[in-house]
Amino acid sequence: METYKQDFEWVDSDPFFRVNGSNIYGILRSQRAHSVESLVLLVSYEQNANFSDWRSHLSVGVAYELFRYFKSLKTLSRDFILLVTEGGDVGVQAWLTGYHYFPLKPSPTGLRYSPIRGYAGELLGGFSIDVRSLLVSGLQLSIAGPNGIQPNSDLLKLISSMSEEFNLHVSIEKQLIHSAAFLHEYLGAYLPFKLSTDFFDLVVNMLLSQITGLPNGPHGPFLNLNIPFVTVRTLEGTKSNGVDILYFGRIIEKVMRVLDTVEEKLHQSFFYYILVTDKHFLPLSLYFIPALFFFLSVSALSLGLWLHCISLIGRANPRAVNPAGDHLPKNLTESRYFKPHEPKGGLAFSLIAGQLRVSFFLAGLSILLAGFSTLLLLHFPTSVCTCTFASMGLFSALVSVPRWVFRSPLEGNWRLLKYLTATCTSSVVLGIFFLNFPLGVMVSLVAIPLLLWARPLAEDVIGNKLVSIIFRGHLYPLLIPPVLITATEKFLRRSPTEDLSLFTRAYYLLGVWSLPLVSFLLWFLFYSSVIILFCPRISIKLKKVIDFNGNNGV
Amino acid sequence: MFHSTLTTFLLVVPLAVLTYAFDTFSEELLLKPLGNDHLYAHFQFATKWDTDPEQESFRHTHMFPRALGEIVARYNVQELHVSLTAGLWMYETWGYPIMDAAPGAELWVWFKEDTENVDKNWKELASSLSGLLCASLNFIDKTNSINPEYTFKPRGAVSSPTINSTFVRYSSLPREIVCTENLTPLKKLLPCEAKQGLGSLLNAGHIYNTRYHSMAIHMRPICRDSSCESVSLELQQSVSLVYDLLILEAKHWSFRKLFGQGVIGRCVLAETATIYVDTTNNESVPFQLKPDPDEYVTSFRGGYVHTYAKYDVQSYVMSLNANYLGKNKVVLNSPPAIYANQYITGYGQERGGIVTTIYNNHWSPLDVVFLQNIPWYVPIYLHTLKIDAGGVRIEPTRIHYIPGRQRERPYHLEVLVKLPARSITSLSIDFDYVFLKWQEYPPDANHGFYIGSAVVSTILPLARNYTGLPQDGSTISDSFNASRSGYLVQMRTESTVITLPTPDFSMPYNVICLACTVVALAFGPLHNITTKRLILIVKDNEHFIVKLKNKVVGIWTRRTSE
Repeated sequence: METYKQDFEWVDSDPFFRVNGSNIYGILRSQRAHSVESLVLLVSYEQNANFSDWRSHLSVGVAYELFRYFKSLKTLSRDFILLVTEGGDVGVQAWLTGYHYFPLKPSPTGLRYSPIRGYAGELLGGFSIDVRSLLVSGLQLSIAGPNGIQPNSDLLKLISSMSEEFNLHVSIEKQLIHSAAFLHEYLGAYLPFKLSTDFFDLVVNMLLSQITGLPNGPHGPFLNLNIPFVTVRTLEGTKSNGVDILYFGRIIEKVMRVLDTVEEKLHQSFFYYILVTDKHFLPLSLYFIPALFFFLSVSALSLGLWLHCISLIGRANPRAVNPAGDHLPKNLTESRYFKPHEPKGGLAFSLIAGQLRVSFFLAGLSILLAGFSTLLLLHFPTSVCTCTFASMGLFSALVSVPRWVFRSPLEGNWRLLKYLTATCTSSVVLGIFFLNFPLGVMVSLVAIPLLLWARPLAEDVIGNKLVSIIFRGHLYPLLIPPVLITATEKFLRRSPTEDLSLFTRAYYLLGVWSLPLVSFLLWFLFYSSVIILFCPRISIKLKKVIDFNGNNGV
Repeated sequence: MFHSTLTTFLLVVPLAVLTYAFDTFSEELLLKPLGNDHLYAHFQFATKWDTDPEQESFRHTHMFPRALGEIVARYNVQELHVSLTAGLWMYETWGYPIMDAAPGAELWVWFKEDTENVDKNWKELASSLSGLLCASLNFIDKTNSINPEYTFKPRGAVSSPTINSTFVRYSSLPREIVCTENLTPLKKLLPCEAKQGLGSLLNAGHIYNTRYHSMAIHMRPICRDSSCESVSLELQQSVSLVYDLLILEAKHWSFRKLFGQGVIGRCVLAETATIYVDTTNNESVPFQLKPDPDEYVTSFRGGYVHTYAKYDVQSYVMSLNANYLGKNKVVLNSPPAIYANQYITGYGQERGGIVTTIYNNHWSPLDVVFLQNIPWYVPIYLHTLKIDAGGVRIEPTRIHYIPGRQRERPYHLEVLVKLPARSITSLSIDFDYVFLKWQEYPPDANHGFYIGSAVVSTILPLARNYTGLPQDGSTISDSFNASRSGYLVQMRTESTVITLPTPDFSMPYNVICLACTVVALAFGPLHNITTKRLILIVKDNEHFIVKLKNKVVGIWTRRTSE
């Protein structure tokens, strides 16, 4: 096996975060091919490994033995790379950067690394293995990748099916919180049924890990380059429930050989998905439907506001306008359905009531699914999950849009501004849904009520208090997700500094913040241009309307 | 009558023999241990025919394969070099092969200067060779072919002092898979085929159990004598194999292990039939040959000494064994003076780069010609060409660049550069990933698209790790004691594979499903709206008891009326 070494160093302005080390990798050349593609077996050697503890070296030993076996195989059609990194994610990142980039020039801070000398073509995928015991009771897969990317679901299914042959249970690592444990603790005593814990644990964790966009293993940097990769950890077993580590080796060997023989790359778009069980997943095509409902709710709001704006400008008395047209009987035009009025109990009550409705609905749905649908979850987990999300989206669309729009005391130019905001939000929400579904759900759930609630803070909207409106009224919805993400990353992770290097954290957080920051900039530009270009004219028109009415001030 | 027939026979047969007595055939096998765990086996079959290639019609041939000769004559070929290779030659650890070849199929041809339409002849020649060798050479056309300016000069004798590179064509098919169906036609081109001689060792079941195998045909005109007043036609057929001794599961090797059988006698048509075993490293890794060699040959070449055990192939079944003596020793690898790697940089499907790293271990600067044939669907940008040695920018001596044109011609880049002594030089150039038309994707579109090997040519001042044949030689024995002022090497780098943006070809199915769902969902409401009338009903404010009374009265009235 050809063996190479790469030195690297991560220099930060804070000396505490200085990381250096060496990556050692060997390439086992295929006897048949000409080094155009390769598979990687990664062992992330811990930076603070206890050298006297043999468990620290077990992963390296297993990987080495596997490669000794692979070397005897005559039929490999791709090169195999055994990569042993240290320094956590920094080491993996250094190797990948060296493999895919031109050597960097030295700089005072940042990542420095020596160039890669041995190449084995395109990296098709692989595993990171973490073995801690000689007896294995099951396998745990870590799949969360940066910015919500996950390994190709075929890879997971492959491991799952191969493990079944040896009666080894495969579970997905719950990275962030244990929702079911939380429910058990606070609700379990009062509920007359048993909660279905696994399903909620998994779904909630999948959503949160995709929202935060933080990887939970050394596979993260690989996924960032769209290389299907997964971290496989062994669960420590006892003599009664464990099997020999040999079986783990056989599973890895089988999966590597399968990947070796596949002619094409793992290429379907199953890398944005929500895992419902270890074998079922909710693909993009299914969660696109609920996403559509969320999107439609904001779009409908926008449409309603647009109709109102038109009717306001065109009619003398905006309160007596029927936005649907003149063809309906007169008594309907003046009926209570189209007559805007103050919500009962004021806006605050209205908002709270709306939020409570949503919350009760979701809680009820959750309890229903958790308590009474064990059978349903067992057999149709994907359908249940799709239905849940679709219901949430539908509920949001139905509850929030028509009544809130016309009940709010919206007038003239403020309504116009709100219309523009709703239009922008709908496009942003749609974009986020395409990129990251859980983040889209969260943004929708927060942004839609906030958008409906947002009100003018000053009497003269387009006049003197313009800046205050831009900064107070409209950007709340967009600021919520990154704040939540940062908070989640900060508090929910057990120990961010140990698990994830500062480099990687900074890198991913930048990715998470980039969308709101860009949106912020775009919104600012958009509003500025709209106000500069159109608002004087609109203002004059509205002024006329207001003057005509005499008593309709904003 | 009988006398006249006999006379004719007696006259014609010696005449025919005399006519074709001017062709000779020789076969050689070189076995060379490569480090501790690999063995290099190179078969060299050389046919030399003292005929004028300009006048020869190839209607009557003796040992020269007529099938090939007809193709050569029909398409006005002056020189032909074709190779089919699987695996990658590891220059760094194995040194230089006797004949370089790119992974997959490689074809380069010099046409005669009176060729009218070179592109047409090139395409038809490739198709004919495709039939001859059962390879996919018919995919070679002008969209993937270039005419190199500096890299591929004629290897044989030329009539004109000036060389016009418009008559050379080069192309490679890096994805071509080489197997038995290519070996069989190659064996049929040998005078004794695989029935006798060294050709009998070409047993497909065994020679494809190797880490590297390459078969090649090289045809060229050569000078008949030192005065070079007349030319002959030379045909070299070679098969190169690299065995991994770990795959063979034994360090000791024998003909039976390597080829499945011994040599079945000597080819009666062969003038010489020799087996050489490189015993240069026999002191550090001693092995004993059985039977003992006929003689040992020492070769002084380019400052380096090599010793070979020589066997003449006998007329009976012959085998050869090598038994290693003592414990395994680690042989320190001395990398060759120059070698190169090629890889792709960047990720994603927007921009990328091709980097070729050339290692110059020699103590003096070396002039190198770098050739890259890049497919048209990988558009490169010349302004991004960077040549860098240890952080120092190097200016190329000369650049020959012909930009590609979509679906018409590939990108042709040839760079002459002087490598600093003991340096690692990187040549990098950026490219874009482009969308193809949907019919241009192959059936396994997600496998990726290949970029062929780069060719790095140089003249080495020393013959360290060098086993190539001299330009004026056609057999392995010609390379013994063949010290020259320089030694031409033409290394091929790895071919690379890139993933172009590939559409989801299952999308039509998804679209059909989605469209059907939408239609089904939309049909009901639309049908209702378009077929039913929306009317206002005045709200009935009657009391429940009054309604009930009216209903009962209605029923009673109906019954009484019936």
